[in-house]
Amino acid sequence: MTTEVLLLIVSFVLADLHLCLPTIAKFIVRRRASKLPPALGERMREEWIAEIDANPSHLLKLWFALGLFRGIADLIRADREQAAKEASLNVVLRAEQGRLYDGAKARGLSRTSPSPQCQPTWPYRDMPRPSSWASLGSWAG
Amino acid sequence: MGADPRLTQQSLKVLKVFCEAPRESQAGADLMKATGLSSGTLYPILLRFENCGFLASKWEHGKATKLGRPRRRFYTLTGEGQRVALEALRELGAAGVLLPQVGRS
Repeated sequence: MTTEVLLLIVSFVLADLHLCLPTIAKFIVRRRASKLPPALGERMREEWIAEIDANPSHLLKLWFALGLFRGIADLIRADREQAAKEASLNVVLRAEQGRLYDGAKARGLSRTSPSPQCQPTWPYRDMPRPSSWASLGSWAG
Repeated sequence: MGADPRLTQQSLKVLKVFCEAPRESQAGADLMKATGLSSGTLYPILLRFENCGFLASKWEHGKATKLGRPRRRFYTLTGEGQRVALEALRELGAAGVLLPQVGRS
């Protein structure tokens, strides 16, 4: 009799737990996405929650979320590598732009001082504008 | 575009799924099912491939309110990705390396 009651209670608990699995999975996904850099984390959170919602099986939803305990460090590494690549490309492009401007100036194409609209803009607010574009070019190249 | 990522057996599984239907868009869960990889293994591979231009991704068309669920993100193979994938798979085939099995649903 006691065993039957216990089995009944366990089955109720398991049924309740089964219903909670999607909520648990989404909680895990949100926690894992919060470990990522903000932009990537936002995207991944939306993407992962959509995948969980699209999956009809409650157990697979949890399986999906549990799998994310593994790949967060790799995602952060991949994102950092991409950011570093973009930053170095930006420096090279800026240096090239500076070389072109200095080259044009040396050929006398801008004998008169250019109007403010024609001058290259310096996009970095927290860094002082260099006195010469050539110095930036030699530093970057 | 970045440098080519390391092609591991797991990343080759992903490329192979895309090569079987190059024009088809695949969501993460579909790829998990097809490759047998866990989400923690699959998503870093997808991000690396996307960063180096092998894959392109976009959100599902339509608004979440109309769809009745959050929008999914779909990945497609780019021309460059297809070229690299076919080349890698061909080289492995020529070298007699057993290609990773992928199960299509």
